[in-house]
Amino acid sequence: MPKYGMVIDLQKCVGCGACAIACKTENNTQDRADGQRFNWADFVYKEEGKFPNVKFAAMPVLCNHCTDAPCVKACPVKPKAMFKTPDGITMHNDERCIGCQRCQKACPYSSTDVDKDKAAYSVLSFNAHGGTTHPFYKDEKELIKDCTASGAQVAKVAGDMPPHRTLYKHPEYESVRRSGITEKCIFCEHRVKNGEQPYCVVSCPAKARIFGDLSDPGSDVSKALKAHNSVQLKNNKGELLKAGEKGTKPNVYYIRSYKAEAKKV
Amino acid sequence: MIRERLLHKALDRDAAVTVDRSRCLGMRLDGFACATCVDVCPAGAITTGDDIVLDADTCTQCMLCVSECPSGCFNGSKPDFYALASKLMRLGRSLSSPVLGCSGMPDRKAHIKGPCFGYLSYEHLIFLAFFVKDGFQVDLAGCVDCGNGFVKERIKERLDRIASYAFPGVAKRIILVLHEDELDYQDITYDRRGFFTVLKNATLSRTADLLDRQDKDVFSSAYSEKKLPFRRELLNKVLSSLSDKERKALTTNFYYTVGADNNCDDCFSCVGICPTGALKVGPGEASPRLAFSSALCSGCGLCSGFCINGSLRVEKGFWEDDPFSFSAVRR
Repeated sequence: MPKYGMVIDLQKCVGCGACAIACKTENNTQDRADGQRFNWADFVYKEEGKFPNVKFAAMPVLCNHCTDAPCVKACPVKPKAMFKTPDGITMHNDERCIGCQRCQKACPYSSTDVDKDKAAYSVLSFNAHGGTTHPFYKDEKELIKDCTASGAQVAKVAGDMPPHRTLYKHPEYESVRRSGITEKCIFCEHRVKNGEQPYCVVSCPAKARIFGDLSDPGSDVSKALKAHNSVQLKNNKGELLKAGEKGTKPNVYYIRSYKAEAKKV
Repeated sequence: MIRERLLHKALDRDAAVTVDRSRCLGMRLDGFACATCVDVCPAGAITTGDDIVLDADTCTQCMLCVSECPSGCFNGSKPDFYALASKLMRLGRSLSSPVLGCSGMPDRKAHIKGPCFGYLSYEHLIFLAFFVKDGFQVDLAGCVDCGNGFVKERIKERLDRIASYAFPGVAKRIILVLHEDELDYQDITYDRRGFFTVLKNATLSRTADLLDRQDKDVFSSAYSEKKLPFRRELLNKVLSSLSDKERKALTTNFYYTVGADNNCDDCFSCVGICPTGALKVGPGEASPRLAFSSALCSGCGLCSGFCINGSLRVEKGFWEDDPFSFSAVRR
């Protein structure tokens, strides 16, 4: 049985955001609202120093698919709506989810309100009770009056919500999730089980993301981890796990750290 | 489509009781101590564990689970209770006391027959007592010879309890026929017009039944969906038609209040776990506050069992004016 994980090569990553856009298209996630990010693939940007001696680093973040996933422990329903698949993916079932947000509270990489917590991101997002997911496509207000189309018009003409919706079929997940539940990255399991790579991996123009079986020493992820020292994230404030620190045993690794520096010549 | 439905009806008997897993308290909250259905089922047909299962072969269709489950997890697939109630109401105009019978007793005379009386919960009985004003008889005389005979005692207990809660006069409208010679059955005679009306109604209801329930195989709804148990719906219907005194008696004995202490940090987890939607995120002065509506609360206690701060408590009785409106949970 494989144990899926991801390695992100920070020296290859240019912080272009193609993975985030690819993910939004593939998984039909909605726009940020009310302290929820809805970005299954997101970013942490770090700026250090004082002009002109400044450093800048970009770090793509996503669900770490932890081996000791606290979100799974926190899920109250039976059978659990948040669970580990045999191949190590932290899976979420949208039918059994009751929307209590305990997973969001338990996950060190998530916040129930990113803005209030001053967090950088949240891998778990919550579709508010009684609301509509993708409210933008119900909105009849035009961006520029009598000039542009409204979201509602676009959705009507395209016949779907959102118009570029990727209609994947997954036993646990709808391609657009309902309101009143949480949602998160599922490592594009609908693609992985068909032998494809997660869409963020495919879309990365710099090939900075490597996805594969951590238990197979011959896999690209294992080779990359053997060749380089790696770090893992500790929380959604951008801190890293120190050497020897296990945390929740995240399965997303970062190699070859990189900071862009402005130097006086 | 119709052909398939007819075939289905002929070959597979519709399950007498359907189980909606998403409403089961033990399924919504792992480890929640509720075994009402297991305790109440005399046949031992219900098992709870990783899933809640009703064994159709062992089930004697006494319907006690339907009337006891606090969460409305079990539902009798037949009959349409409102249709039954309105028929009793209509019959009451021409007959002095119509008879509600059991379809398991083909030899006994009744004006309407339904499943085993076990489904007649407090809420069903209160509803019938208030709406069928002319009264009716429940024919329990046949229960002596029936394997589900224990149901008779339960119905008696329930009616006695309703009577003790300040509705003695109303409860008397339901006459329990315990012995054969107590039954007062009047034949209905139809004139020509009446005959065709009956024929039309019967045909309509059969056709409706055939066209309805296309998704009958889908019993489980999404866990995040809020659903009011049918019995609560009945009670709410009764409540809106009552005098102040009766209203008070009903809300004191059959409604609930959710309160919180100062440990509540408005995390709103309980809003998610609540199966009925009695709790919601309401407006507050500075930030949103937890709001509660008693009319939507089944008193299941899931919120208090789930609250991480141990802050919520569910109390029997509702003493404020309007159970239908949402108001901030009292601290």
